[in-house]
Amino acid sequence: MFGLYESALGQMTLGNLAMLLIGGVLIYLGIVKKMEPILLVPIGFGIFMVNLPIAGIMTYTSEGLPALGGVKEIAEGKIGILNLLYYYGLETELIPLLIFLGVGTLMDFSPTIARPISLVFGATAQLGVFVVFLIAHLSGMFSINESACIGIIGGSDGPPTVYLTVALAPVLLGPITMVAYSYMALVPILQPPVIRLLTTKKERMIMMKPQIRKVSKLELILFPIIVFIVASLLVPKSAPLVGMLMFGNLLRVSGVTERLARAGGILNDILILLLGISVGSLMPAQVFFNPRTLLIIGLAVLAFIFSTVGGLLGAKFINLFLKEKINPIIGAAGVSAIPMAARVAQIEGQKANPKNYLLMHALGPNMAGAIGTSLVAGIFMGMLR
Amino acid sequence: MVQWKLAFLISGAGYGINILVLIIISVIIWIVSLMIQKKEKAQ
Repeated sequence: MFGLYESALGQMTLGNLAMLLIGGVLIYLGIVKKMEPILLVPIGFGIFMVNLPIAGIMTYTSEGLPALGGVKEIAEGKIGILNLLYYYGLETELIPLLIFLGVGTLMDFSPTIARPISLVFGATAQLGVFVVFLIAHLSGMFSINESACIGIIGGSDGPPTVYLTVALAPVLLGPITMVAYSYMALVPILQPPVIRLLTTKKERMIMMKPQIRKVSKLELILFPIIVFIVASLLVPKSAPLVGMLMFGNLLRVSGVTERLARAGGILNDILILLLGISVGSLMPAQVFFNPRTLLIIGLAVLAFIFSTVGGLLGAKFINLFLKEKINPIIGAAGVSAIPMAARVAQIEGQKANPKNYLLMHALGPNMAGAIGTSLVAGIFMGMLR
Repeated sequence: MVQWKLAFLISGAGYGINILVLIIISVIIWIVSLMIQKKEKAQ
């Protein structure tokens, strides 16, 4: 009965206090600054939940991984409720895959179909993933599997990042997911200087018609089917991610499954809530505070910068072969971060030429970036797992 | 242990495969779109 009066205060460490501060900052950024609030608020509170000693909400192995178990272990007090969430939601890869299904129900691929070359920018904008993968591994601080998970932050797409990290480096899932989602909000700060550095004013001024071609319903229906079949045949390990994304999109565009598409959207909200709290719970002080986490934070900036470079250079290269030139800024939107990167392209385009409306054109590469990052996750899984 | 040869191989091949697959998809989408547009014009 004296457990009733047990207090966690005596067991609080400086690390725990610092983590409570970090959790507080994430909640502040979400609520006050409106930065990715639907993720940062649950992640921040998840950090609170696991950094109060003897709260018993989450238990860890000696390697810093969540202890696994089921209802029996919960009853015996060996694990907490968040261990169950981690086990059934993340360890099984269920949450990231179902989130991608929900994302698919929200995506409109019309701009990508209207200009299929956009898909190539979604690929060239994965440059940061591979450059940072190399840097991370050559630094000697990360194994080859861990480096792949750090690199994929540059794809700026949450579900593939979580999917790959659970499979290849679960011990880094907390810091990588937190960095990936919080940095997505920094796209408007990181991208403009790179865009201005790599393009001339003349290039940024290139006018593009404000409207894109109207895409027929048949094209919209065939797009997810073709993408899934080709991607699965050429990169089989990308099939779960691409399949879920494209299935969700087919529900949206088929015209006969609106109820299912709506359900996918609602499911998405529920799963993002579970993902946020699960990811926050992966950040106890003993896991978070080490030099590797700080290095991940720095490498993520590099990944975003190099991905922007890849998108821009891809667009400039394609321009060499086009009669009607495209504005290379839209290539930078191949860094997924939907729709933030497309908005950045619109703003930068208008700064150079106030008559330019690049948003619809930039949404093409932006959507393609989600497919590109899913393929990259499949490529890493195929080569490393 | 740093496996630099493997890391360079994965990096180069991975980026290349990614671009190649998306070029293939974009060409297929482009051809299918052209066929659909032609058919719709004819109708």
